[in-house]
Amino acid sequence: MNWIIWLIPAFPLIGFLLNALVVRRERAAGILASVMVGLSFAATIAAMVVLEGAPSEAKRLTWTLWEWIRIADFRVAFGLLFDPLTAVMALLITGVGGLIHIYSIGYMHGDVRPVRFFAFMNLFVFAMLMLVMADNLLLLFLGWEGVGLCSFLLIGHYFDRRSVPPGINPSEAAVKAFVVNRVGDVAMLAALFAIFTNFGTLSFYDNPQLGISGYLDQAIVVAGEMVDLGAFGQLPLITGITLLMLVAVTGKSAQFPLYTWLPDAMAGPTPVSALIHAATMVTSGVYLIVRNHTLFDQPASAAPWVLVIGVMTAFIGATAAVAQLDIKRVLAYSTVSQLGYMVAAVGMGAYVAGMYHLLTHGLFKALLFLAAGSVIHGIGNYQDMRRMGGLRNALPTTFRLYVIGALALSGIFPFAGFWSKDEIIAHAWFDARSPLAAIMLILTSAVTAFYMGRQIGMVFFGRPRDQAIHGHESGVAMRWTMVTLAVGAVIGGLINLPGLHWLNSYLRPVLQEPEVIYTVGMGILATITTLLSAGAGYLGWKTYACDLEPRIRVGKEDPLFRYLGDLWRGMEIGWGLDWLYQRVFVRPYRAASVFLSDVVDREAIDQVLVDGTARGLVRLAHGLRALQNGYIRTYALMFLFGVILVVAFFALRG
Amino acid sequence: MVPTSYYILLSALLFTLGVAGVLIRRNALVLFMSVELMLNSANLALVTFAMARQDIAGQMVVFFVIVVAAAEVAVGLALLVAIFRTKQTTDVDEIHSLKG
Amino acid sequence: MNVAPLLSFMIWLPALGALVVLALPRERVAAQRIVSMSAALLALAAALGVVFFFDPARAGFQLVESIAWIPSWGISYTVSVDGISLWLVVLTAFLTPVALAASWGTVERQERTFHALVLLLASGLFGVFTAQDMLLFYVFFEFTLVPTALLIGIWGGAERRYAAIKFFAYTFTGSVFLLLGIIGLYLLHGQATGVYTFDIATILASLQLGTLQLDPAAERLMFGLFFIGFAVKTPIWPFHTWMTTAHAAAPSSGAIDIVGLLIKIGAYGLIRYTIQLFPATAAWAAPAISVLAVIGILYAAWIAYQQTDMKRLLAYASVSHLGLIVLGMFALNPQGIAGSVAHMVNSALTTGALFLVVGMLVARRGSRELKSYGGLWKSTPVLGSLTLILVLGSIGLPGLNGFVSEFAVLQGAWRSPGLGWRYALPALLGAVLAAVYLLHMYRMAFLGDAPPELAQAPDVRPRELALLVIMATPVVLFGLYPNLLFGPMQQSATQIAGGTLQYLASR
Repeated sequence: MNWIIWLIPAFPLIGFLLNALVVRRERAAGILASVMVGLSFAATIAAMVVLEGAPSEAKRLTWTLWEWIRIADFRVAFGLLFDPLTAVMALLITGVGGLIHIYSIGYMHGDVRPVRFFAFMNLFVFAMLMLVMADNLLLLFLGWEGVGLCSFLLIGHYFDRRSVPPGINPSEAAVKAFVVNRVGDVAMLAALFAIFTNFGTLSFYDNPQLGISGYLDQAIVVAGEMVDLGAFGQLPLITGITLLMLVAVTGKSAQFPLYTWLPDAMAGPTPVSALIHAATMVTSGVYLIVRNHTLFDQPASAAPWVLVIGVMTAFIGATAAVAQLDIKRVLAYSTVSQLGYMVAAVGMGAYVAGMYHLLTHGLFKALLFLAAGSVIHGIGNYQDMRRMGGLRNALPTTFRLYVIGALALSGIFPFAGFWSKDEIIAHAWFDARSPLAAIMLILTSAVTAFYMGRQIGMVFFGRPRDQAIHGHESGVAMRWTMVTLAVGAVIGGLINLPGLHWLNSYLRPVLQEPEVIYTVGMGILATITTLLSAGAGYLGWKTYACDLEPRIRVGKEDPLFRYLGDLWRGMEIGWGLDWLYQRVFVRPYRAASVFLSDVVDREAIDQVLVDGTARGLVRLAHGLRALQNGYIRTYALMFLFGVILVVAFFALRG
Repeated sequence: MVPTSYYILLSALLFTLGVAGVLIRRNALVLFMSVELMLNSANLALVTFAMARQDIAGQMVVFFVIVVAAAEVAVGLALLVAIFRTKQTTDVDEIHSLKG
Repeated sequence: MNVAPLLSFMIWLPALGALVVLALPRERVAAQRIVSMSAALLALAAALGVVFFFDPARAGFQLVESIAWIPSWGISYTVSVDGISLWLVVLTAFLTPVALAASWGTVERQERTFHALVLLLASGLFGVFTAQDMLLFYVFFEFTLVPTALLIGIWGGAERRYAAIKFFAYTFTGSVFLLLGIIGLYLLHGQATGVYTFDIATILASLQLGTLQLDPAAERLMFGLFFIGFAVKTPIWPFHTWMTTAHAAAPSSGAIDIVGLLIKIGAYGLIRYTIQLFPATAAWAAPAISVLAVIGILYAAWIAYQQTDMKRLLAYASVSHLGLIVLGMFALNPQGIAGSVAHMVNSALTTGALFLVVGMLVARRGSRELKSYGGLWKSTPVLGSLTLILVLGSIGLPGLNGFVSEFAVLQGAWRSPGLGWRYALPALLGAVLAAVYLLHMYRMAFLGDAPPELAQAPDVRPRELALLVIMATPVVLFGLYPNLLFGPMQQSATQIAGGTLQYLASR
């Protein structure tokens, strides 16, 4: 029955091919795409049932399609793997993905190129499934770059527009996303090479069908190996490999310092932001680390760095979200921040907690994005929050759903985010013994609640600031998908409740992580965090819905700018990282490109050396021409010289 | 007995005069005469050695040289006449249309 | 096992076709096209026959056909294939009909001569890849110069005369060193074994058996002579400027031949001669040569970014790919060498197809400047999608052909006893730079909004669609099933790599 697992990615692939080559009408495209993802979801459930039948020491289903590459001893299979970790990810991808597809049927109605949209959405689901279902790192990398490609295609969906709100050029944003991702991908490739060179295989686990062994169980073998960095000393091999993976994760999961592509990715349609840039693609980095946990568990691994990056990103992302004026950009930075939580969790070795938050975040962030899309769609495609206000009357359902999502994100009891976020914070304080990390994460949680409160206050409360805008509630498809996600956001905590530990047990065969024992200390910490967040949230709401509300005007600065000045400006531009990259990388690169082309290549090499040689030869020829002046007497003189030379030669030799 | 070296010296002198004539004089007829002079100096050298070594082969070669010289003069003067018809001059410096 | 002299058929049929085409009257365009295409397709059939009879389990030269030419000097007409040359032969056979088909309707004048030259070039290329006798190899090697120079010089763009002369003079000068090397090797072999021959298989056997021992100085001299000749032809940085000029000036349909294959005869020569015959020196020189290769990768990719002329951009893309190819072969292990040959095939396909696309764009807009384009994905969606597949293949997206060969090369370099991660890591940066310049080109041409002249541009016509699909199919196919490429190469690559490993082990 193992073959059933390849049905899971096959359905979206078929959907993509049909939509790309055959389908012409919008309605058919949308329904086909959604049905395919739905079928994929069903296949996932079926595969999970089959998985239950596998023995718990090797709880996985594998199916090798063919041998992908074989050169001498380098062998890689094109094969799929389905184990509990995969199952959890696949459920998220197909479940949330399917709901978003259905939502898109309503949202993308009347769009300029809907068929292409649905084709690429299906392609994305396929690529993401390949990523989580690959049985070796190279195939994972195929999915990894595949989702990057789909991100490029979907961000650039409106490629013919010069600018979309809040002033981003979609084509530029798409290329930027691809290139920044590629920097991470290069690190990933380097990690792949290093792994193959030292382990002799890229397969995760043993593949008896092709006779390839797996490397994850061999992690301990290379424990002592060092890499010679010449003048920089020696580096443990494991540190090198995990560091390279960390760079890859930084790119794909938008961590500091490679997160600049994610806010600009909001140029894509909102369902794209929900699916790709909230629930799935950006979480691939977390998956990568969890899958490779045996490497990261090694004492010499780069796990501490992972923690540092995660915590930094969480805080930076949250502070940037506070000052955003575009409804989607707030959520974009929020995603950056929440990904930081997940990355911090896996950096501490709390893989289950990281996956827990990945799942709950997938639910409530998708909900938030879809609800934001509902708002945008409902008011006529405006995204600037300064234009909104008082929308809770015009869009009541959206309003309620948005609040649910915001509460979940802020980590308020008993919504989903509370459980997963606090588990990470508890882990930081008690198990990892990094009080600094825990405090930063708690502060971040407070800031998170603040900006969500701010957003709700600005959008749904106060008076309508732009008289031209009249909101109307969304259609059936959009509403019911949001409701489904909202249910998930409310009861999502059940996935891994303290005491029940369903997720932990389910993932036990893969991660072997001990269950968390809940102490009173944890309870107190959680209560403190929640109270802080609730307070911050209330503060944010009150400031923007009541106190400073009269000062919010269309086109004017945010009211808090007056009090925080440059600090606010810094937060608004994402702490200037983008600006820095422009100055340090983009412009010099361009200038150097022109320099190399004109000065070095054209002049130095081509003109001086190549043409110079040619000109030199021509000049030599000209010089020699002078000897042929046509005068007989000169020739006679030449004869004489020649004769003298020859005679002298023979005379002196003899 | 006149020493052989005197003859050879005379031959060398005549040869040098011939070369000088070829290099310096511009009149084509004088050029030919200088070439004749060079050839005759070679003849003198040959006969001298034939006599010194009592080998008749040297004198045989002289005949060859005389024949070659005659042929060369014939052809050369014919060319000169042809060129004179077009160029109206016997100055060799005027003939440089084969310039490279 | 030889059923028929397939290789000779393959080599001489296009030349014969060229003669027939030249004999046809100038106005009978249809007849010319039929004759030339038939010759090319028959050669393709012969090539496929060669593949059929080729035994991938054996290393060494197969399907040998030999006739004594000048026996007193040891020169014979000997042709054969091995794992390295097999795919290059098929590539030539595949691209020649495509080049001919691409020229229908795009060549403005003297179409008859154009076809004849393309066919002659094909003959020359077949000869280069299959020649087993060194002098025969040299003859074919130089023979390819003539049709190429004429193709560039007569039908090329603005700077065609300069480009043609530069190309001819530059590569010819390099080849003089090659000739010296060939003659030198002939003499050395003759002096040592008493057998004066130009046959590679014999010389190789003598080297492996030890009957011909070259002392390090002699071997390095020989290596150097061969290397200079091929380095100019490949080209390796900094000898690349003839290529960028030539490509920028070449016609679109002839370019595909030039791009795809001519530049591969240099790389092929590097493997066949410098590495196979002189493994010790190859291992000694590998680090230095790899530095040049890596510089080539990065330098060309960097320059390509700001090019506004699309053809020059693709020319630099080719130089960058070639850097990767050279890096792979001097990794001196099976992955590197196999990856290198595979990348020759793959980059010929992607870059050649992109040249075709440029030709199609020029046909619509009349300009090679990127600035005059935009928004074409909207007005010509099919062209846009197919071009995107090709662009992604060139960038090296997994699932497409460029990735597998690039990966094999870099993995080979990383694992190589002579090179290692210090060389592979900078080369890996090239992957980012490739994305930068190729996506930049794609964005300028296909994204954004369209200038008014292009808003109504027609989408792909049937001939264009057929050409692009034919080129794009192997791009996808080799990406998913690359063992098609790697399979025949295994034995030969392992054998060649084995020679160098022996030397490195004994050091």
